Amino acid sequence: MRRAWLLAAVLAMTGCTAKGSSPDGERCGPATSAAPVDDVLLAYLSRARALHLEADVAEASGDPARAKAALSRLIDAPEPRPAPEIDEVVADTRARLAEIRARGGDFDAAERDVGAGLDRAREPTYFRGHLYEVLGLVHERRAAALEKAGRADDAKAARARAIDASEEAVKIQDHVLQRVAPSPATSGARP
Amino acid sequence: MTDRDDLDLPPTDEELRLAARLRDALEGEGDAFADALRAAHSPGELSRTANDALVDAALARAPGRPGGRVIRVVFGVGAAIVAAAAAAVVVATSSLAPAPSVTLSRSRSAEDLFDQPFPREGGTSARVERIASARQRDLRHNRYARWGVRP
Repeated sequence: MRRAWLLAAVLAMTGCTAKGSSPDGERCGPATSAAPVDDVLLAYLSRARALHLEADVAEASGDPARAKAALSRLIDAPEPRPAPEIDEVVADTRARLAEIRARGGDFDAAERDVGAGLDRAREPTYFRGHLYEVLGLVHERRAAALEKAGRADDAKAARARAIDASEEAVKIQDHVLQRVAPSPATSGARP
Repeated sequence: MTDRDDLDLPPTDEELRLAARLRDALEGEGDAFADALRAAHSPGELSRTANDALVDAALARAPGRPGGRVIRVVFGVGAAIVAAAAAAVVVATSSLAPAPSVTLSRSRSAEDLFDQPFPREGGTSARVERIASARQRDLRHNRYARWGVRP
């Protein structure tokens, strides 16, 4: 009884009702699983967009170092709060960094980026599948470099890892395709 | 006739009568107004009776006196009852009439924005752009929803 009164008082003070919603209809208490989209999330996404555009300009002008610096600023920036979109943007940014590093021959760093991206995209999504594709690409490029250096056995092992990564990517993407309804769109993105 | 002219006139019978009454009051005791006037001009000793009455009245209002505690307890209980009743009304009415439903767009995976795997290389900027644009629309929707604007 005492607890019931305490709960009633707390609900009244916070503006929540016994049904778990506030007067404006927003849900209250433990029933809320994700925050509403707000200015904070938009600010982060806008910043991410700007830094990727900066990386585009840098890559177009043949300045991969500057592109990596722009993307690293995004990776290193504090995140305002946990959000699936932020996880996905960070994972995709890691994939892009890995691509750039692999092109420059920095394969170990590229693999680390892929690993960090996979930590942020744990569910079977296109983002996770794409990270495995990029991992396959990194292994392919490493294999080519090893071949060129006359290390045929190491190159063969790297190619095998590339195939494994690509297979994993295909598996994830098949899983996603089975989950989502197929669409005739060919642009790769829904409107 | 001006006020100055009025001051120069001899006093009327009525004024003389009132002046005599004031003089008698100031010389005597018992008239509250005359006592206050006299005390303000030249305060004298307070009578023992008046002093005791003032002390008793002050002590009755002081904290820690049984009377004051009783009053505070009564007010405290009354406030608690009112607060409890208000909380009960809030809970009871909410169970009878549902709150107006406002559906807000919530933070979620952006995967539903894409209907096929990403190209093996490139395209990250376009994907981030798509996510940001979609959430921009969600934010606008949430603002309108909070303002009570319905499409």
